[in-house]
Amino acid sequence: MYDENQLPRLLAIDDSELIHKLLQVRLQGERLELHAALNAKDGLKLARDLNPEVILLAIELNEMNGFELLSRLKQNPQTQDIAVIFLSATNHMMDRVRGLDLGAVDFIAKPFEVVELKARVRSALRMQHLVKMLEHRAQIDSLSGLWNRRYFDQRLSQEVNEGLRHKRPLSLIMCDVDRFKRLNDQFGHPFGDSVIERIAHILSAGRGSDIACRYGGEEFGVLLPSTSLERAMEVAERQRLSIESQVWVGHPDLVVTASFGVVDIQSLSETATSADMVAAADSALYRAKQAGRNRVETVHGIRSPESTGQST
Amino acid sequence: MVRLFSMANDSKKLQMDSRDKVVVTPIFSVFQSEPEMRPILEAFLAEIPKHIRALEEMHKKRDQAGFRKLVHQLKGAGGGYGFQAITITATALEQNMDRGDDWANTTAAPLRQFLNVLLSAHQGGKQSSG
Repeated sequence: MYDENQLPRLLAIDDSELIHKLLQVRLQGERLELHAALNAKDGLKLARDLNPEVILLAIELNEMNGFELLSRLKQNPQTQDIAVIFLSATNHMMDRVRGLDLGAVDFIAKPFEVVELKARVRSALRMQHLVKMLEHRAQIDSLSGLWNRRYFDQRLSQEVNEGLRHKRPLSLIMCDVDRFKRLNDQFGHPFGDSVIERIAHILSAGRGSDIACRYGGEEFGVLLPSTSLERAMEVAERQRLSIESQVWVGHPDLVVTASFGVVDIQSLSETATSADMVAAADSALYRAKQAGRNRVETVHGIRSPESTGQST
Repeated sequence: MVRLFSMANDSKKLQMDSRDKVVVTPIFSVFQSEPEMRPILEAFLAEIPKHIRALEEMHKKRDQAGFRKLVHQLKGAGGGYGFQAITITATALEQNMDRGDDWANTTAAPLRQFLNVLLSAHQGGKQSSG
C-alpha cells in the first residue's frame, strides 16, 4: 500500500559482491533503503517480500539472466509495477533495446558514473512516487474520503486468500444507511452527501487496522483483519450507536440510522472467495433490514441489543 | 620497464622471480582520496591476488564459464573502484574470448595484459597503504 512516509526501497540484484559494496558506499547519502540479492532466486523472493520501488538488475546472473528475471517480475501482479533499471557491463545496443522492450525503465552501463547512477535512481524513484500517488488517488472515494469499491474488491480478495491460507481470522461488516432515498428526497442531496460524509467518518474512526470503504451509494464495507466475529459484532454495534446518536444541524429531531451485516471467514467454506464473503455479509444485512433496520445481524442470527432509536 | 609476467601463485612471487623479473608500474584508484571509498577500495585491492590466481587457474583448466564470469565482474567493477584500466583490459579480454573456438589461445596475450593491470593496481594499493 502507498505510504508517503515510507523510505523508498531499492533492491540491487547482481552476482558480484564488488558491485553491492560499491552501491552501498555510493548510495549511502541517498534517501532510500538499499537491499541486496546475489542471485536471481533470492532477487525474485526479495522483490515479492519487499515490493521495492526500484530494482537495479544485472543481466548476467547465474540461474537465469536478467531478461528472464524481468519477465517473471512482469508476469506477477505483485511485482509487475516495480521500476527496473538494468545495470550491466554488457553494453550492447541490442541488450539495451531488449531490456527496455521487456519493460525496464532505464539502463546504466557498468562501470557507472556515481552522479549518473544517483540521478537515474532518483528519476526512477520520482516516477514511482507519482505513479503510486496516482494509484492511491484512484482508489479513494471523492465524497467520503474512504477507500473506493475498486480498492475494497482488491483488498478483500487479498485478505480472504491470506486468511484462508494462514487460517487467520477475518471479518467483514457491510453497512447500509436506512431509508437514504427518503433523506435525500426530504432534505435534499447536499444533506444526503453530509450524511455519507459523517457516516464515513464514524466508520473510519475506529481501530487503525480496520479498512473502511465506500461500497457504493449509501453502502459501506469495513474489513477487519485478524478479528473474530464476536469482536466485529461489537465494533459494528458501536458504530450503529454512534450513527444513531448523531445530531444533525438544522434537523435537531432527526435520527439517521444504519443497518449492519457482519460475517467472518470461519463461517465460510475453505474454498470461499471474496464474493462469497460479500454475499454472506449482504445476506446478514438483509436480515437486519427485514428485522426492522437499525440493527446488527450476522448470517447465523446473532443479534445486537434492540435499538431504542427512531429509524428514519 | 614493464614486462608481462608468467603464471605464478601470488603477486609477491611475481615480483621476486629473478629468472624472469617482473617490474610492475603501480597504478592508483582515482577515488583513493575519497574517505568513504577507502575501506572498500582496500578490500578490493586485497582480493586482487586471489582473483589473479583464480583467473590463471581457470584459464589453465579451460574453465570458460568461470573465467568469463570473473572477467566480466572485474570489468564491471574496475572503473567503479577507480581503475578504468581494469575495465578496458577486461573488455579487450572478453572480446578476444568471443573470437574463434580456441578461446584459451586467443586470450593468452590479453590475459597477460589484464593480469598486469591487476597487479599494477595491487602494487599501487600497497604503496598507498604502506
